[in-house]
Amino acid sequence: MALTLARFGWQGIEFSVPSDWELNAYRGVYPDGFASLDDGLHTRLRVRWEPEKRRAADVRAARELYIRALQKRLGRKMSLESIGPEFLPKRFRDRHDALVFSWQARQAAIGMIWRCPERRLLGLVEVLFPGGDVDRTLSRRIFSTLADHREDGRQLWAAYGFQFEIPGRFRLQHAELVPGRLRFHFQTGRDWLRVERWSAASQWMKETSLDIMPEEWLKTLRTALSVTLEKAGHTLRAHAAVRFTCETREYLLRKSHLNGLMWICAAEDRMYVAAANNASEKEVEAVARTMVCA
Amino acid sequence: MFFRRKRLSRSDMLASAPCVNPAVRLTELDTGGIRMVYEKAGGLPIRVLRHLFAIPRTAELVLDGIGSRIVRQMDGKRTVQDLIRFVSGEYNLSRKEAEVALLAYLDRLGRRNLVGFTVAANMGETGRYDE
Repeated sequence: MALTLARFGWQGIEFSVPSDWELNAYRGVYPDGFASLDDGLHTRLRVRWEPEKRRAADVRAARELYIRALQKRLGRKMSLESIGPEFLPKRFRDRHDALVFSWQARQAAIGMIWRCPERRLLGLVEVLFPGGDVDRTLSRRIFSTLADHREDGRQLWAAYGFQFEIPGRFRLQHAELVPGRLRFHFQTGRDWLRVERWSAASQWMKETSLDIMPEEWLKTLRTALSVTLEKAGHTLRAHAAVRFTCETREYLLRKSHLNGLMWICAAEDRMYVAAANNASEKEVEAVARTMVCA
Repeated sequence: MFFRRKRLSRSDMLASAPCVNPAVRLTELDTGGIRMVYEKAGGLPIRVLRHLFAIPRTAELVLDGIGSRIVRQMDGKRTVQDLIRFVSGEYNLSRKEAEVALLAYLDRLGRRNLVGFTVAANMGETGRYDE
């Protein structure tokens, strides 16, 4: 059976993984963080990144440091194997300084430590095999799709089937990933951007309609002042959408202008929101257009 | 104190089959929900205090549409994994979203002894912990 891959993106790091692997843990920020994915039963992929020269100067030193930590944790049960650079596709090797290795204990893993000169970070990604048999082809496919920055300056975020792109200057301030409601709050200086997906939209819409929903949503911000809704038959990728604008009051006296777009994908029964302060309608729409739905 | 409770591994937990406690009275409501009437838990002192202060012995829980649909699926044969698939498919949630929501829901019902879990006899013997 052909393996279906889906893009995963978090804090500017992205790669393709089997579509049934989903985010199960994350922490940290753009320069320094961690994320792991599971297949429903076991953790299958771990990725961590940190600024270079914090603990290790280059990929070799980082590998030694990590191997020592692994040996300390797993003891004599662990066997280690270095994998040659030819494991990675040439186009990947041309762009990255990377080392590949595999280890085997109760479970097995193929790991890669790489360096991104643009972001000045060192990263470690490991594909785990709970059964103990490593799948080199799968690991190679995942590693070769890794990207740690984008030429177009945008950032891809993709988790739980929710995928969107935002301008690269924004950093994740807060993510609320609860069942049925995925909310991302990005910030850069005093500007913010919110991207949300609400599942089971028909349940939320039982007592309200899309025309009124932006006002309800703005109440959650607690900073909205006068709200203007543009209800006139706006659509986004053939979905009924509502554009809304309002003044918001932040930091007591400072006022800012908010632009937002909300729409419902009936096929998925999901509601999507993209809103930003101090951003033009076009900028918000540009983010909204990257939000993938049916 | 002397016996450590065996803990199920994650795979065993997903393979267990939740079922509604037969002592719970279920009533279908016109709204599509379910009313669950159950006897409150508590030892002898609690029961005595309840009797003294005329606190009702039973409590009821009204489930909303989504909760009711999940409870209707609990027949003692469908596993937790099946229910995750059901919730995921029915409400268009990702597997993880459905899993987190369902496990939290089952935990809440389980704490009130409204549901139990059928576990196969050979499960949990390994005492292993999945990561």
